[in-house]
Amino acid sequence: MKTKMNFRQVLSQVLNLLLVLSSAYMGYKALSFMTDCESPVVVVLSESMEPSFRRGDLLFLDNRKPSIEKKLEGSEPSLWEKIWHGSPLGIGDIVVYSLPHRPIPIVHRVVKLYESENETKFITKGDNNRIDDVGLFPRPMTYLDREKHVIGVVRGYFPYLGMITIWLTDYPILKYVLLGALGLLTLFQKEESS
Amino acid sequence: MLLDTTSNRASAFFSKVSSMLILLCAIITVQNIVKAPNVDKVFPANVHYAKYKPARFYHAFHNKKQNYAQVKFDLDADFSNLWNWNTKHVVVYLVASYPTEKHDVNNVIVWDRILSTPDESHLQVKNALSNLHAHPFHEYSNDFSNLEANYTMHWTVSPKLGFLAWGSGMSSLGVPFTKI
Repeated sequence: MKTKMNFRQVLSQVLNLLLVLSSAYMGYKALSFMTDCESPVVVVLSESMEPSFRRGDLLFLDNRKPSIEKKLEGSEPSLWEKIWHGSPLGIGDIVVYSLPHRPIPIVHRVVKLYESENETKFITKGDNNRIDDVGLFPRPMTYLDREKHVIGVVRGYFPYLGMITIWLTDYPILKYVLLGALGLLTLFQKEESS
Repeated sequence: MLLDTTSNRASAFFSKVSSMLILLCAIITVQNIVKAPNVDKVFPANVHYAKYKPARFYHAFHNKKQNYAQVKFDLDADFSNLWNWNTKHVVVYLVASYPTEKHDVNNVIVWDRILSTPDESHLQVKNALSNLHAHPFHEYSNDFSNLEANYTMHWTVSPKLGFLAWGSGMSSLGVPFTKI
């Protein structure tokens, strides 16, 4: 009898944990839909944007492309309006983009922007780099394309929180330690009155 | 809620602390949007000239020969209003803006600076030259003739936590490009 109750309690704790995890995943996917961005949250991996972004900082991206007409009508929109509707890529914005031959996306500032009706081309440079990024592009390519290369534009910032991801990647044993700890926690919580 | 075992106390403590922290971060983020600072004392840049000539830079544009322009300018801008407790620093940059046949809007940063304290936020720059190493000013079509650019100060406020804010000042009058 006692083992059956214990088993049920363990199962309910596991279910609780799964509920929390799946809610987090749902929230992430919802944010991905709202910002039209495949990975709306990224971790800064290099020091090329110091002092703005340090290694381990968390960035929130937005990939929506509202039409330029919205930008021209009336006076400058407030920050809230820019965030609510999205903002087209502007000069000085920080973008996360990926190059075809490089596995890790790059987070740099747009230093040159060439916009026309059907295409937007730009060049980026890290604040902490002495030269711009054209040297990183594969040979004949000299401009980045808004449609092809951009993952998203950085609109939000949270310091230090991404260090967890960096530690998990650098020391893979931490993943097993974390999973083990979570497992133990769910098993030992059966003593609670809930 | 039983608080007699250590693990119960620890878990209760941690859950309370984490929910308080999340609430604090949410408040900071919302407050960042609501209070919208007003930058009014940013005068348009005073551009002396914009000269260009063909050159080949190893660090730019895959070492191809291009026309590169250099701009001489004065600045007088006060960004002190942008500073509050949530500001980490302000990145300001001078942007040349001009239309061409192929592209309706071309924007090129010719000079930038990071302001780390409110004291250095009153920019008074005289006879500065645009930085050809960091910002090699070339044209997409490689043709600077018959073009005129307006120069505007833009800025981005990097917060300690929350949404980034960006804005721009008044444009200068058009300055044509002259070949050296």
